[in-house]
Amino acid sequence: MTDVVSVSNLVKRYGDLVALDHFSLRVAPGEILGLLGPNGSGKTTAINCMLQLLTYSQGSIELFGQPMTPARYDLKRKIGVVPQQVAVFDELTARENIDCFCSLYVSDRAERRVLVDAALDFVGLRDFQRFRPRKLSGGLLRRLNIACGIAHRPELILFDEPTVAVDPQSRNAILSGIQRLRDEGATVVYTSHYMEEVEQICSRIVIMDHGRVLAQGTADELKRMISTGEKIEIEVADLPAAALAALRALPHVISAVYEAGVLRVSCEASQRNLMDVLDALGRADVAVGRVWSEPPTLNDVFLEITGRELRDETPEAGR
Amino acid sequence: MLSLAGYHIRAMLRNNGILIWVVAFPIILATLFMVMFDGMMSNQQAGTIAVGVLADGNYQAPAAEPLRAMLGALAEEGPGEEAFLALTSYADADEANDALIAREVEVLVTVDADGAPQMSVPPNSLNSTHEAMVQAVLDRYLQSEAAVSELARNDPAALASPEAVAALTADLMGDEAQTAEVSVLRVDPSEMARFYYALLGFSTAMGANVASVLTERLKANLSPVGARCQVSSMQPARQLGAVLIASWVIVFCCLMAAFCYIRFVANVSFAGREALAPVACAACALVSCALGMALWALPWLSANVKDAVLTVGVLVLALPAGLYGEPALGLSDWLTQHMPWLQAINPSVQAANAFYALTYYDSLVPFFQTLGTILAIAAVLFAVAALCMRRQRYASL
Ligand SMILES: Nc1ncnc2c1ncn2[C@@H]1O[C@H](COP(=O)(O)OP(=O)(O)O)[C@@H](O)[C@H]1O
Ligand SMILES: [Mg+2]
Repeated sequence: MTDVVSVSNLVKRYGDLVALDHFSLRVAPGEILGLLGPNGSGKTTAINCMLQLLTYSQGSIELFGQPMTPARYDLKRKIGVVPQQVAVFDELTARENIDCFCSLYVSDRAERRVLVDAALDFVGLRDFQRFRPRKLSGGLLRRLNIACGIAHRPELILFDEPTVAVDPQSRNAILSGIQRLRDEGATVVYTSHYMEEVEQICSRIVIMDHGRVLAQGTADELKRMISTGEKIEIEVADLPAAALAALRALPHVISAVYEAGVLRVSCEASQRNLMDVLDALGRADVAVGRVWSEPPTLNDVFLEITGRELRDETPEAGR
Repeated sequence: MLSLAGYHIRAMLRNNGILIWVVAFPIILATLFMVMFDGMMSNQQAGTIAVGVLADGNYQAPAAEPLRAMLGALAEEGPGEEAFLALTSYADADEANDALIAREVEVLVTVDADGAPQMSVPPNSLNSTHEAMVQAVLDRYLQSEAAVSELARNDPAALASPEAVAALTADLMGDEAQTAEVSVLRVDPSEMARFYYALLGFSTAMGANVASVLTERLKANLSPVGARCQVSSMQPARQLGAVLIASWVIVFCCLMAAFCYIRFVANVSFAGREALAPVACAACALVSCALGMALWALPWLSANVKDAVLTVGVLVLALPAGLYGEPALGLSDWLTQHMPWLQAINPSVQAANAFYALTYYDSLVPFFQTLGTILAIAAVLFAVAALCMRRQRYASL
C-alpha cells in the first residue's frame, strides 16, 4: 500500500535559520504517527510545508502517492487540518463555524447538516452549538477547533499540538477522539511536545529536533535503542559519600544522583538492578524509605539522543 | 460559494466594528447634518429683526412717507405671526449710533436728503442673514420708489389719495416683500446637498472596511483562519468571489440605507432621479470592496499598519469630497480645478460626484461618465488585489 504521507529531504529556511534540515517522513495508511519534538523543533513548519502554505528550498512532498502542489484541490479535499492556533470566526456560533469550514469542502447543504451533527457529537459540543467562540472555555474552544478541521471526513488529518493549554478532561476526550478517528479509517499525524500523549496514542513515533529526525519507531523500539533500561528512585534520609560511590561502581549502573533526600539511579537493562542497588545500600547500612522503579520514558530517549530534556516547560497540573 | 458568502454576511452583521462604522455611522452623520442645517435654517428664519431708525428731519419729510409706512407695517404683528421688524426710533444721530455699536439694534436705517434709505451695520458685523434681509427690503423699496417717482411725475393725482398710498405701501411690503425675504433665506440648495453627497462618498470609502475584514480571512499570510481557508479544497477564485459577493451586498445595502435616509428623512432632493440611485450605489459599493481588498492584499504591510492606513485613508479620501464643511468644499473645488487627476482617482470624490451629477445635470452623460470612472478605479484595485493574492505559498507565516 502506498504511504499516505511521503516527505523526503525537505529543507526549509527562514533567512539564516534552518527550520527543516533534510526532514523526511513516511506515514502509512491507518496509523497515528506521532511527531515529537520540543518547541521550535520545526513541527509546525513541517506541517505547513506539507500543506503547501510555505515555500521550501529542497525536497519533495507526496500525499496519497501524488506530488502535492497548492492547486491539488482533489488532494486537499481528503485532508483535514487542526492548526496549532485556534482558528475560528468570532462572529459565528460553534455550529455555524463548523458548517462554514465544512462548506469549503462540501457544497451540498443537506449532506453538510449530517456531517456537522456528527462533528458536534464527536467533540461533545452538541450542548454548546449555539455558543460563540468567545463564550467557550479553552478546552471547548480547542474541541471546536478540531471539529472545524474534521467535519468533512478527511482521510488524512494533521493535528498540530491540539492539547496545548487544555484541561485534563478535554485532553482525554481529544486523545480518545483521535483514536476513534483512526478506528474509522483515518490516517493521523499528531504533533506534540508531550511525550506521554504521544506514547499513549501513537502507533509510531518520530522524534525530531532542530528540523532533523533523530529517531523513529514504536515507543518500545525507541526505548530499546537507548542504554537506559530502568530508572530507580529511593527515598533516603542520609546517604554517606562512600555508599554513593559503591552504587556507582555497580556493573549496570549508568549514573547515581543524590538530591533532596531522593536517590536517583539509572541502569542498563538487566533483571537484577533493583536487588543490586538495595543490596549495596544495605551493605552500607543506609535506611531506605519508599522505592520506585520504572522503565525509561521517551524523555529518557530524547535526553540520551540530544543531551537535553524534551520538556522545556512543566506540563499543566493533572497530567 | 453562496453558503460561504452567506456566512460572511452573517459574520459582518454581527461584527460591532462593521455595524458601527459602516452601517450606522453614515446615518448618524446624516442626522448630525440634519440637526446642523436645521439649526442654520431656523436661525435665519426665526426671530424679529431689531431695526433702529434715525427719526430726523429727512425721515419725517413727506418724501419718506412710503418708507415710514412700509417699515411701520413690517413692524406690526400679523395674525399668529411675529413681526418681521422691531422698530426703535432715535431722535439723535449719536444716540442711534451708540445703540448700533452696543448692538441694541442689528441695523440702523437712516434717510438721506433725497429721501433714500441707507443702512448701517455694526462694526465687525458678521454679515448676518438679518442684515441681508433688511438690505433686501430696502433695495426692494428703492426699486418700487423709482417706479413711484416715475408715476408721480407722470400722474401726480394718482398719489394724492390716501387709498393710493395705502395700496402702494401694501404692494411694497406685502407679498412682494415676502418674496424678497424668501429669496434671501433660500440657501443655495446645492451647497447643502453637497454635504450629503460627500457623505455618500465618505460611506463609500468607509465601506472598504467590510471587504478588508473579509479579505483578511482568506489567506494564510493574513490570519489563522486564512490558513484554514487556503488549505481547503475550494478554489481561491471562488473564495474570493464569496468575499466579493458578501462585501458588495453589505456595502450596497448600507449605501442604499444612507441614500434613503438622506432622501426621505433629510429630504434632500435628487431631482426626481431617485430610480438611478441604486445604480450609483451599486457602482460605489463595487469600488468600496475593491479598495478594501486591494489594501488588505498588499503583502508588505502588517495588519496594524493597514488598519491605520484605512482609518486615516477614509478620512483623507473623504476630505476633498467636501465632507467637513465649507473649507473642504473649497478645497474640493480648488482640487477639481487645479488637480483634476487627483480627484479623478479618489473613489470617495467620484462617488459624491456621481450623486451630484445625477441631481444637477440635465443630461445623464456626466452621471454615467462618473460611474465609468468609478468602475475603472474598481477594476484597477481588483487587479492589484488579484496580483497580490495570487501567491499561494509564503516564505514565512
Ligand atoms: N515566520 C517565521 N520566521 C522566522 N522563523 C520562524 C518562523 N516560524 C518559525 N520560525 C522558527 O522556525 C523554527 C521551527 O518553528 P516551528 O515549526 O513553529 O516549531 P514547532 O512547531 O516545533 O514548535 C523555530 O526556531 C522558529 O523560531
Ligand atoms: Mg508548532
